Amino acid sequence: MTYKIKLQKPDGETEIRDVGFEPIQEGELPTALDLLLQVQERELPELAFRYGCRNKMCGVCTINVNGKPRLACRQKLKEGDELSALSTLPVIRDLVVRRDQINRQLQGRIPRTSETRSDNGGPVTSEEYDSLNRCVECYFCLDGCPLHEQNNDEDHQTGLKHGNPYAFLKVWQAVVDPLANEEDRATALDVARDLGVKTCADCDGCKCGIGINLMKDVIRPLVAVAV
Amino acid sequence: MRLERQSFDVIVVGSGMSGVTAANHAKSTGARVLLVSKDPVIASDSKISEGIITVRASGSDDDSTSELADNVIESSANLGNPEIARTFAEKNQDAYQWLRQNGLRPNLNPENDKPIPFGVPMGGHSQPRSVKHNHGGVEHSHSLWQAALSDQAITYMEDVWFLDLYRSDDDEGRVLGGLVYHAAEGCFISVMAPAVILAAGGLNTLYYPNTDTMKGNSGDAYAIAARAGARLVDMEQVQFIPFAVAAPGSNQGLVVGEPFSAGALGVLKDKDGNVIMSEIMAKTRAECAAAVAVAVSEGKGTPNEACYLDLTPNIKGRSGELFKAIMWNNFPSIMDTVKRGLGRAEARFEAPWEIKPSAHYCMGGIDATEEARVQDQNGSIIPGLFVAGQALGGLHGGNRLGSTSLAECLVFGSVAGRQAGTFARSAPTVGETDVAASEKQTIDFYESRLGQAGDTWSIRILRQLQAVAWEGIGPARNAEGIDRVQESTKTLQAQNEAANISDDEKWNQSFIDYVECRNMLSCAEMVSSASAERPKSIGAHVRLDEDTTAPAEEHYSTSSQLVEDVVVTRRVPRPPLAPEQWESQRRTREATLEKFRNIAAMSEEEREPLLAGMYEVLAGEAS
Repeated sequence: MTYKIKLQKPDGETEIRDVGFEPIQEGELPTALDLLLQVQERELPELAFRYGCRNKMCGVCTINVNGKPRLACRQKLKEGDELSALSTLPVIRDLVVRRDQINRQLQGRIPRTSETRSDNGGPVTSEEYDSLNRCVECYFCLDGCPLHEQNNDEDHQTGLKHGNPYAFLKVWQAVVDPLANEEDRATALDVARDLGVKTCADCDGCKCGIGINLMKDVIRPLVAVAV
Repeated sequence: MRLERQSFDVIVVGSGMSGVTAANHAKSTGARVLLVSKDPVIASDSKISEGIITVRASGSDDDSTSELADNVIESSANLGNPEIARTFAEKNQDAYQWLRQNGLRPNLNPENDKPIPFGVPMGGHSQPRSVKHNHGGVEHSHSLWQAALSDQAITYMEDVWFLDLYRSDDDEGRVLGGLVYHAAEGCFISVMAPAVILAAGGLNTLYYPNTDTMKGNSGDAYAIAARAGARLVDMEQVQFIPFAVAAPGSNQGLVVGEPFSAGALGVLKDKDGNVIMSEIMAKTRAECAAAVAVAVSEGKGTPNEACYLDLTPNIKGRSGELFKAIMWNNFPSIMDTVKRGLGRAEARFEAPWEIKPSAHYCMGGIDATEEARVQDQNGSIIPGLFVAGQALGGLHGGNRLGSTSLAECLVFGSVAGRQAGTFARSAPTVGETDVAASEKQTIDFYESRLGQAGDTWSIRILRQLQAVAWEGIGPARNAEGIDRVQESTKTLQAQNEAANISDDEKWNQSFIDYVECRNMLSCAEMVSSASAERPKSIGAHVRLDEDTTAPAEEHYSTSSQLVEDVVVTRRVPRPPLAPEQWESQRRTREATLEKFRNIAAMSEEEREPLLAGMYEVLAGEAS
């Protein structure tokens, strides 16, 4: 079985490398991560890629397979598949992209959800608030986001100007928090407007790597109140 | 490598639950905090955990701090440090409350507004106080995110490897910061700071692929501390989860069950189908892991060095339906691994599971006071060095009380953060002249490795080490195997120091692998040296070459340190359990075992309503 891995140096030089895979178990297709681990051990000892839990929970191993974002630890490969870095974030080396600017854009901006914040006598949580905790920050959702695409290379270095579905999920969680007060909700919605949520009104939609219905549970309701 | 310098009051190494908790508490003292992590911020073992947290008095009002502390110490086989256990118990509720203040919303009991624990006491607890959260560890990530990022006060850097600590070369030997490698920026940063908190515990990558934890578990905190002169306690005590995927491939090492998962009638079988253990629900993780390891060592294991967990007896009748529902409702991600890693019939409990143990938690760690201040080889405090979370030793001894790992991160994260913040704010500022000597020595060492040509690569050395470690210092050990690890470690250390390392600045993978492999080799040295000092089975692993039935005559913890680059381990006496305590524990245990033996011996008609009743209680609590 052969596959392709797109190697990339920090100076931008790229190379598509054909690599083989010796099956671990007879007749079983490898995951993208199985392939990367074996290639690193046998052929390319300096191959750079991220992974963590091998179990779809930590959110760090997201790469592109045939141009589409996939969690490397769970993505089964077919003959000839091409593995490359996520196309939505700047490549540092090989399959490793820079990610810290995504959270840096939000640091200190979204009002904190806190149990001690309000005492309105109602329930302290809701299905909506709770279910958004499922996000593992795999950044799968940046793919195809017309808003995120407007950030240029320099923005990735100095600070992102435009938002993305993940950012809006964090904002929306602050808004739907049953304990939030009106002032906090207003602040959170201002953040969404500032990040460009208006663009989402005309968008076909974004997709989550672990199955949160972003359009139904985040984007549409956010657009409804913020735009 | 390009060099930058930065100055902070407190550096926190690691951004899991303990690191973020520490950073937040240090910030609250007014300190300027730098949070560094090699993985993306918050991506950690806390995030991928089952998310269950010990909360004292969540199950009843009648739950004193001394009862919880006693549970910790009893569970530790009296190897735990009583002061650390007391602090753990005293600060447990406040520490959990802090997480709630940061957005965690547990399911609350409407009658008393307390978080709802599992209705049955988890392993080693005298009462129910283990609180489950709807989405497991990822649920806590939202709270940690807020604790780290909801204001601008904490500076965070990810893709950053903390290499070594700086200490002053006077008698005081105070901490002055340390050197980090910023892989994304492609530079070294010399960070000057009067206080450092090591919150990067875990060494299970030593056992890869037989582990269920994050790849980043390369024992960095232990190795960094040992090189800086700290001593480490109980390093031989590595906790193994007994039931994980055995077959090689993507799922090897991932957990498929705990003793609890065996149900009332599940049994362990060897490769030929002979029962090697029953009443599993009443057994500890260590006992189950030992049973598998012993069978394998006697040649009764499968080609994957595994045994079978046979749950098929559980699925008859209504009790069987309840059993299946409990497993799928309570442990959906684990059951997903069963289906994917073992098979569909296995996920319906209709076929036995091929399993082997998997490394889960390092119970030993850096020796510290109950104020999280790290001690040196003579028992003196290292000024400015603090530790939190899994990196801290002394709480768990030979066996970790269930659901205490996240609680430990919260308690000692908050203690270490406050202590370090307060300490740093009253400590003299660290300037370039203070760090000059230590900085030069550290940079010279790492610079000398960059660009060296060698015969092999650190990633390959690491893979050899992992195979040796699983054989020699895994769940089953003997003197010969431990010796072999010690021998191999020396050879591999020499190879690693001479490995091929590129001189690239940005994301230098071979340098990263060298650094982590070096730390893993130090940990292998410490675990094997401490194991050699523990010739009897006590705690997490089993000694195959000793009489395991007789109690050890001498009761002690191990204490390991680096002396002229060699690990030296000595014994530190601990009080043995009083005879009446042993007797009372033995009786409680015998009664539980007896209960399960009786269930197994009953006729089906007699047993069915009893089991259904038992599972109904459990299923009720689950929903």
